[in-house]
Amino acid sequence: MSLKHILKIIVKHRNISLMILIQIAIAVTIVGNASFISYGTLKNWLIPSHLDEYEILNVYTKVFDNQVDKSALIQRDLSNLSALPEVTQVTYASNELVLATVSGSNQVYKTTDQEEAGIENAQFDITSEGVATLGLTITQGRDFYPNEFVFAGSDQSRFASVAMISEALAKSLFGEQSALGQTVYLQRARLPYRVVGVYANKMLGESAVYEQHWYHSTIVPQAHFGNTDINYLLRVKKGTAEAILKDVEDTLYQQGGRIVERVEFAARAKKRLWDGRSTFAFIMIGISVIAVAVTTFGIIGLVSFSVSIRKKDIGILRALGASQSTVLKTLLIENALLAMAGILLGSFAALWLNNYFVTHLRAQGLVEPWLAVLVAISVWLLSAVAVYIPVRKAAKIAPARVTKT
Amino acid sequence: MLRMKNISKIYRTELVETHALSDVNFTVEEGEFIAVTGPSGSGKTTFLNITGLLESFEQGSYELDGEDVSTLGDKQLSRLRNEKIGFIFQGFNLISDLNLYDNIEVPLIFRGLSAQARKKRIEDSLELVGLGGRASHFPAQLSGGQQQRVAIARALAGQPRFLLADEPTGNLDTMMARQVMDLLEEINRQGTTLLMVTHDNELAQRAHRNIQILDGQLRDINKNELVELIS
Repeated sequence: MSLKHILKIIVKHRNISLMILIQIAIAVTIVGNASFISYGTLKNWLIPSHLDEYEILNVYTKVFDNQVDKSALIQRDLSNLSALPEVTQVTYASNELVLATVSGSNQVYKTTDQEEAGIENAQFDITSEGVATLGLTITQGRDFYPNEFVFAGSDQSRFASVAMISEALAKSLFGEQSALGQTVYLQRARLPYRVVGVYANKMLGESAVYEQHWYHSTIVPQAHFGNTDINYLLRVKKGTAEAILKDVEDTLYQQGGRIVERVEFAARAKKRLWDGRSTFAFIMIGISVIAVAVTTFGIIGLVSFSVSIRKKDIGILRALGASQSTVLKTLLIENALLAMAGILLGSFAALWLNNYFVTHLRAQGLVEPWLAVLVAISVWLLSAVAVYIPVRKAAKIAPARVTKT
Repeated sequence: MLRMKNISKIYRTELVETHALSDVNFTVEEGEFIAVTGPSGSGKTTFLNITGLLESFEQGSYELDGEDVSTLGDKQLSRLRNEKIGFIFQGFNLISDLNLYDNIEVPLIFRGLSAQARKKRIEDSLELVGLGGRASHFPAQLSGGQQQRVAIARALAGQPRFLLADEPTGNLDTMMARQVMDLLEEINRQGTTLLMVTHDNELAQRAHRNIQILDGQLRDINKNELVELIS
């Protein structure tokens, strides 16, 4: 039969044709998005953190006793933690911990213009050993001078005047211009800080990573105390065993009026960061597997039904001179046309759903053209295999069927 | 043009073996009009299927237009059906999803004819059966007699060496049946060999030669015997 006849038959059997088409479209929509999200997640996993993940510790504590002198407590903690033999540096960290955004918005701005949209940024407020604790490598400018550090109660409104920024943030803010001497404005209050140094990229901020600004970060030589969170960053010697986590916890418990919420390696924080997204990706993969199975069996069922109500017509074609291979080819072309229409429809639906996931669920799964083509080809092959099973049977319909009454 | 020697066909189930055809020897010459009659269950349909290459046989040899069909595969048998045989069935066997033009066109596409050649043959054959202006109609829009004429047009468009008609008037009223038989006779007069299977002895009388099939065996009968059978 010619393409014209095949199309006429598709139109005549439009209900069943539409069902096959929609089934394929749904499969493409689901599998497409699962692939985009899974690929996006996998790509994230492979981005280097440049962190010494097993040499940096995040320490989270909470002071529940209002009578505790927090300034003195921090000083004692820094001293006690430094005394641990495995610990090489320690810093109080009043804003973020490594890959753990503790407090809210950490935007960075180029101006004080309220209309300017900020850029997602990890802001590390540290004490004197902070740069060394994070293991930063300064590539332009200088380290902080001791007199630039501010250690004050959060109610005192005292802020540092300088900051260091990562190379990635420098590029985002100033392009090819030098960042040194430029002013950046941090947080909603748009407090000004002069850039005195630029350091090599490290994956530091949870929110920044979430917004795919992998290496955006700022280091500010200021540490405020006052609220219940008293957090630290520690650097330990290479090869330090996990027992250090317990030692740190025990050391902190020597000071009353507080609880130690968590002590963890940066590696653990990184894993937690990816886990949430991996779960979403795995759920999508699971749904995809179900979608593929339902589609396969659905196509087999629908095509079997479609063929069963056309057995007589197929017998007529055989009697009139269609060989088994001609019937097979005709039915495969018919279903390939439906599959192509379904894939086209599904591709549009997949793009729409992808846009929804990215904008509403903050999923990382931007459309990769080569992946979309791969999904389309795979679903097309899957439908061809699913169709082949009933169609092969149909091709064997005996021409003698025409003489059965 | 058609020669069968010792053809046998047995249908087997787990419990029984049915000898549908036993040692059939049968020859048809070019331009003949042969009617095959017989009661229900006598093996008429099996004979028709084997003659029309619609079904295989177990024993014997069958030569169609000089070609031994017993050794041919599906592709060659399909080609032979398409090129040499025109089928006219009791149930018309038109494809309901396609209009008359397309119904006649499909076997011509299998033949590999050009669109132009196909168009001419379709128009000529529809004209011949008196349905020239109805190419775009669908089978369901036609009466039984008209549908059978379309089936005849489809068979003729292929310019076959011989026509195989299976109860061609079985589903038609007397008037329509007469018209269809007149058309078949005319086609035969113009040189196409015609083999008609029927249980209607009156129709069979119009053939040049009559064959009776009984319990899977064929025998020639003369007109007088046929008249006796009718009475």
